[in-house]
Amino acid sequence: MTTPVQQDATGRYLPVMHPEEQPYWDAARRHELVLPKCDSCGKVYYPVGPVCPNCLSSHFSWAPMSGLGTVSSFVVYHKPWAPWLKPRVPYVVAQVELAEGPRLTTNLLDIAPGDVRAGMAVQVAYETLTEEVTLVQFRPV
Amino acid sequence: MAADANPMRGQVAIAGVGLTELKSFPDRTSLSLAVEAFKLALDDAGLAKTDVDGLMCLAYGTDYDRFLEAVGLNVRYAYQGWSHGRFLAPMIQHAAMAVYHGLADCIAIVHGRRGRAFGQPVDIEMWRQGLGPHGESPAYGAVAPAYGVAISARRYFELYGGGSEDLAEIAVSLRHNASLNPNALRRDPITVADHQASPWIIDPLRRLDCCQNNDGGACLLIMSADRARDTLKGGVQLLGMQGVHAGPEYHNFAHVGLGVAQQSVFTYHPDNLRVYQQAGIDQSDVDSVTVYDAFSPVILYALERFGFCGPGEARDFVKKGRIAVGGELPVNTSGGLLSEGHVVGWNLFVEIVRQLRGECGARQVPDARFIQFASFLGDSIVFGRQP
Repeated sequence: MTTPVQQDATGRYLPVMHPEEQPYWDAARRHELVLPKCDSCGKVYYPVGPVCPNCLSSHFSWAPMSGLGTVSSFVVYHKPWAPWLKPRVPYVVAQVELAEGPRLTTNLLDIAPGDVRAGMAVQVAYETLTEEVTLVQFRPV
Repeated sequence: MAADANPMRGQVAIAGVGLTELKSFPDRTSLSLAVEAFKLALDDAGLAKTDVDGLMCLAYGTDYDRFLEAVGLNVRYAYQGWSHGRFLAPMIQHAAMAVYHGLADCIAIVHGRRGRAFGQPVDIEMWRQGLGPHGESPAYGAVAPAYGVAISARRYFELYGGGSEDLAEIAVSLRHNASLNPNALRRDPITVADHQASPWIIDPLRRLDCCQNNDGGACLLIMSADRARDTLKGGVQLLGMQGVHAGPEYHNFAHVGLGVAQQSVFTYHPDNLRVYQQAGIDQSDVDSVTVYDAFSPVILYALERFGFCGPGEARDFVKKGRIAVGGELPVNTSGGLLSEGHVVGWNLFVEIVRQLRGECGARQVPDARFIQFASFLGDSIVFGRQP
């Protein structure tokens, strides 16, 4: 069972970096967005998994993404479910549909919650949390 | 319709139900609530504990082994599942198949709930590889099951128009139903304005769009219809069913086709609904619908999933009292999880049984013959009054 990981100073939840996902997180630290692209059928897929969900091939390459996408849906948290979220509310969680197809769950940087609209164009951004962890985020284009 | 395609039609029944008070029980345990519900169900059916030879539970309540130890019962068929609303109908279906095939004569489904005494399943699941069961992603503050329905509701409103105001009458109607239910936790009537003044939890969900976490115990006794006929109140029959649909196109707390997580975007039109084929009825025969209403938007999804209205029409369908008791299609006559209370949803099935036995007093649906449990994930059971 996965153990929760929290930042020492703030109590902020950190992502659990599963072994299969390590290249994704390594790339984020370099401010690059990469996702697995199937060597057999060419599908770009997310979440990261052991095989291509389309053709079950286990051969894939880490392909750089354009970093461009649109907000397909978003919500605004007003209730803080954990102490580290108290100073953050109201905050946005969005699903960003990449130009390449997959949808990522992220926050939106540099925009007030009231200005967020579904369909708005966004580009990838990076938020450094610790030496090991940089989150993939998005901000308006 | 080819009801004979289902050899189980009408062969299995719920023969007894038990439901404790729903409130906060700080001095009690989930075990004591489960045992109380079990005794209530036995009394309801006029059965002895030794008539029960099967037990099923979901996790995060009373575990099967300690429960059986506590009531001094040995059974020949035990099963425990994982605790989520989407596993309610499957557990009843599983029990029905076990009884139908002779693996048990009487299966008790039991749950005792002490609020968050054991935490929530999602406390663990949100740390899974990929996402949590409702799309949770803790590092981004995407926490709590409400996230899954908030993100899907926004998609619904983007595709079909509308917003929070379209959820108001769902909360108002279910509160009306609860006002007629002495065992409901939230009974004070509310208005659309009350709903719109209720604070945001996760926009587009307000507090009145969210269910409550209370304590309580519930029990259902599943038997063959033949055996159930000899119990105190007879049985409520299972006429048709279909399972939980699952996979990337069936995101939890989302309707099919909304484009949540990796779902495709398309307009869902129901066809080939096995639950009706098995039951030998169609939507127009259904007297009342029961939905696992942890959050108000899922009622929209369930009504469209089963074709009670067309795509995008549910937000109008639920208005003007249509889903309140006394309306054209009462939904969750007890008040549901939104207003009656929450025993992992088992209380919804207690209400179905009581409605079909005509015991519901002021909230009784007149001459109720068919009640359908219907979920946005496709899991469904049509229940019928025993002839």
